[in-house]
Amino acid sequence: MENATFGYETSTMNCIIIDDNEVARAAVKHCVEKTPFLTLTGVYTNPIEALEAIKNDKPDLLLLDVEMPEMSGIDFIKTFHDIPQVILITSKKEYAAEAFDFNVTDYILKPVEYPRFLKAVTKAKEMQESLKKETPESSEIFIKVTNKFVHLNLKDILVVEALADYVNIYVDKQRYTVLSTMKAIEDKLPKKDFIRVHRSYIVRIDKIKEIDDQVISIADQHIPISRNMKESVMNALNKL
Amino acid sequence: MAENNSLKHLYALAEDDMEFVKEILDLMSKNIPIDVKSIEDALAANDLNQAKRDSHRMKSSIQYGDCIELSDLLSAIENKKESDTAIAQVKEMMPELKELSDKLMETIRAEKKKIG
Repeated sequence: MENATFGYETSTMNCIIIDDNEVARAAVKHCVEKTPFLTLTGVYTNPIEALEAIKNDKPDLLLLDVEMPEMSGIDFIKTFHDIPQVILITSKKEYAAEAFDFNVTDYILKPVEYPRFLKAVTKAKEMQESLKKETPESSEIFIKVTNKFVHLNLKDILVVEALADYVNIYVDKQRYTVLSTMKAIEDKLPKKDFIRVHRSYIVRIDKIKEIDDQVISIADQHIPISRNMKESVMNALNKL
Repeated sequence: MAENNSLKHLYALAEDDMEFVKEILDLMSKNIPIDVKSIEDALAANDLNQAKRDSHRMKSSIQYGDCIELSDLLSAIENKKESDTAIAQVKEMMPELKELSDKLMETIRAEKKKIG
């Protein structure tokens, strides 16, 4: 396999292509090879084949077809708790809304054109860089509540709840209302410790007491799990 | 929008990389007849779902052919709702699908000859 590194060793993104169609794979591979900051580490004809590579090689970016016979790209995303960035590539516009529910980085229509591809992967690169800068190994966060900053230990956060332009952060018996989006909060929280269980809820995994069908019990709260996210929630748990 | 069978999208993506153009033309000429045959076989077996999946796959195979009519026809098959008459309706689309596929294959053959 030819790789396109061009000496950008430290800032490359490793990516893999998953598409069941040979022409589509060749076209996307061509785009990757034209892009200096992308390194192609694998090409797969179906998601099942790609699973091992994603677990072992941990690529930074998946270039993923939506409609494949074994499993759709969207169903594939649902199986992950901590998935790399995803750019969906498809011939159908209809999937766009559903795709963005799963935080995909971008969505490209076939036939893939290089300027559009470059825009999408540049967005992925920028996100990767901003996450590197922002994602804290830190165990704390300062939140702005009215006119002061309040210090919180991440281990004390139980639930984050979306509330129009605000989010509620529940810590023990206290609730803080902060002007922010769920996405912004989600990006600040370590993925190994927190999981989005619903469009409007993020919970701390080690505080979950019980999961009963579509409801998570955490402290004295009962949080709904969206049907779409149930699989990734269950995968995130250390089950017996 | 590109003219039918103009291959403009392919050349735009390839820029000056003629090896890539040849690669895609080879893949298209290999896959299009296989895809048409798969749709025919699925219809012969009255398997609408398989015909829909094959049509979807063929859409990807022809994506750089700029063949709007063929792409629309494949979308129509792909989106066909299950009904008593659905298989018969798709079977009626096949002569047009084969004609458009043949035209695209002619374009591909001519292009391959031109670029050597």
